[in-house]
Amino acid sequence: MEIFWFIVLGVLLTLFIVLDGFDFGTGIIYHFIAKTNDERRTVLNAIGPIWDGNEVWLIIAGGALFFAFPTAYASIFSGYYLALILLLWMLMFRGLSMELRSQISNPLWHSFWDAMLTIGSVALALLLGVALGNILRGVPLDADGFFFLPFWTNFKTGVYPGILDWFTVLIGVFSVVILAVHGANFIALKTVGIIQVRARKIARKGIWIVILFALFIPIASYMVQPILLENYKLYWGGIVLLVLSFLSLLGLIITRYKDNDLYAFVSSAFFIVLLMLNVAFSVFPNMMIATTNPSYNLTIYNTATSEYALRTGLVWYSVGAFFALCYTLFMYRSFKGKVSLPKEGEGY
Amino acid sequence: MNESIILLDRLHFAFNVIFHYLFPQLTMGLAFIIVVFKSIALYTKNEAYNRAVRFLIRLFAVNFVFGVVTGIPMEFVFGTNWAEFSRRTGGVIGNTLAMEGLFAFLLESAFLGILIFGEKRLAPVVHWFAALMVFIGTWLSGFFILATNAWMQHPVAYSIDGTGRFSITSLPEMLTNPWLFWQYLHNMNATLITASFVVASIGAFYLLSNKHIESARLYVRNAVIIAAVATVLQIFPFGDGEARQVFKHQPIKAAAMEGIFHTQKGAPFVLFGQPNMDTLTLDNPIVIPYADSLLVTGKMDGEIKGLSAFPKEDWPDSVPLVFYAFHAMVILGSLFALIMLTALFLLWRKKLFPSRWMLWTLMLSAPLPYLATISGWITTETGRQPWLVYGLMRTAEGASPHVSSGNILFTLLGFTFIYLLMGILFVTLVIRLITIGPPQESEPIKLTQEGE
Repeated sequence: MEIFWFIVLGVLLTLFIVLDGFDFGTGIIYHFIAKTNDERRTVLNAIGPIWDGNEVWLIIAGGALFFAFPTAYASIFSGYYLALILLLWMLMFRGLSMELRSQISNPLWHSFWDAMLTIGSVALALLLGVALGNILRGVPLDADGFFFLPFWTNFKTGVYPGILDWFTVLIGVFSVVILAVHGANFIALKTVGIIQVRARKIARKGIWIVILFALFIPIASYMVQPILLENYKLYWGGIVLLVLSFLSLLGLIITRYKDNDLYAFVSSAFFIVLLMLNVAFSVFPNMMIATTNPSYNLTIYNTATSEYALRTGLVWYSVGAFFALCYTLFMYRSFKGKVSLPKEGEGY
Repeated sequence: MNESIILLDRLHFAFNVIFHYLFPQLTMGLAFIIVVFKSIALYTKNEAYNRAVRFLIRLFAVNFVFGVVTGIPMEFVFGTNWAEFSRRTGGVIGNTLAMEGLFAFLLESAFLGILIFGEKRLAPVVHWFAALMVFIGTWLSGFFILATNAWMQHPVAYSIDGTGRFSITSLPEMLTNPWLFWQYLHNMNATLITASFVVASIGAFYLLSNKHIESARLYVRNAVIIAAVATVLQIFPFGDGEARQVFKHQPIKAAAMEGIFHTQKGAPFVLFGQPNMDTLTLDNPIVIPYADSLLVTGKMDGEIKGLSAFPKEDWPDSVPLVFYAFHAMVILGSLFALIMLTALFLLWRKKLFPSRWMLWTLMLSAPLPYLATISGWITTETGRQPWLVYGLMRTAEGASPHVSSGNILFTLLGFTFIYLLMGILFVTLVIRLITIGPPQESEPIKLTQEGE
């Protein structure tokens, strides 16, 4: 039962990162692909109607963590206190920037919210990567199952690191790059003309940076947290995951250079899914690895709620998730195809 | 646990939740009024109602966005600032909080899009259905959140293990917590009062400024009727029912609310006064003799327990705050009934629209229900102290053990600054919305004008 909820949690987080990831990515490359007000409004209309639906998955994932693994939820949320509050503030500003930009027709007002969108998107992509980096590296858990991390200490990994150290920042920057590529693929798919040309160009350049990181990060992860290799030694499935990750990256390069926008977008989505699968596979069954003492590790077994709750949750969560999925599909269907620029004063 | 940490964490949560709840208390009530307008429009085929409701939907949308943006932090601060509470009770309240996100939040978001953008494209009955679904979504959302709070007020369906962790033993039992019945009715009816006062206020403003007369009359007429019913029901039976269960299950909170320090027979109902915590008496009291005993026990000489009957460590840490908040709510609630019954009488005598004094009163009273609702929540939450889970877990045990007071203050100040900006932004947007107003009779449909 615990394993099932670990998978559910992984699926929800991955859905969030793949879906909201491309609208973060769009925010990151926003100033490079859209220069005039009309271009910017076109881009905003591509993500405007769906961003909040994408963000719902974060809420649902947070809810699932709270409900299924309350001990882990409590430890993680209080331990990453500063990073999470910062994440919240960025989410707020980013959401407001898209909704409020169109409210007043003034170039300065537009520029301000445009800047907020990009700052918020870069910061969010960075923070999400840093969060993953922290999960991989481990945190200084105490005997009581709690910890607290300052933003940074000396940027070195070790027993008492900060939220930011060289390793987590590396993953953070990687996350910015990969989401930028993912966002560029999405925009290339949703637009035509000059915006599409620019988005394709950015995606192509980005891929090479992704490859550079992809070569280096597995080695860095092993250096920082040797435990991560254990599951790959134990189970043959790990090799499959690595091969698939490599193949999806290869697919991304080929489809992008053939300018097949749909498949390029699908490839970058798959690549992100596989990265998440690798993370989940390498840390399992831990929720949080302790840098202090391996016996303090928070696992899915010592943080889960009662068997009754996990079982009843299975019923109502399945029903709810089914509705959520229908809603998401319906939403994407309603806004499928290329965006057209609505009249001034309408849309975003 | 360090006392300054607890105090900061409490201020942090109070500030966040009070600011957040400024928005849902309007949207939940307004969703009902939107359904009423859409139903009348559908039934009578009166286009005036459709024109009038378009503005209400826009008002709803702005409030909804702010409600969502300030609501996301609420799910986080349980974990960030109240980690020990989350660790121990997550097995229970995690259920209702997750259900809120999964069922209610999705439902409202999904159909709100249709409600805002769909009128031109969809059949009237489908658009009406979207309004209904948004209403159900928001009220379901309120239900799950209140089920969470009701469990903290009156824990049911739980077991505790050796490390103090609570686990749920029956989900249906938690969702049918007897405490929830009166609390839900009392709170949801309060949202109707807030929304109807706001709609009446906007209508009165248009009538007084001689603009958008057609829609304004619909706003005032319907809002006054809804508000008159809601304000009376709020006193009896909803407020009465809620107060009775507090007297029954939380006598200490009840005594603090009413300012009764010593157990007495034939207790008076205090209208006004200042609790003096040194002498344990009430300064400058104005009272109705015997009224409290009569209301609570049904007998003139019924016995009411005073604070001194209970150990001091179980008293709320701020008895005066509980007392003032409760009295502010009761006095405002009575005033609301008075205002709206008068307005209803004038409406019936067909004298409401020419009565400028009454329209002025309606226009100016819009902020008061917000004050009353916040007061009500301060009563129930501050009155629950020193408990986090009533009778089972103290507030002092609940905070995050490793988060220092400096870090809490940092994020509290950050939230204060951001919410200040957002508050200004919200007021600006609403003023703009009211200035534009509902569409005129001859105007073509411009649904998405000015964005959402």
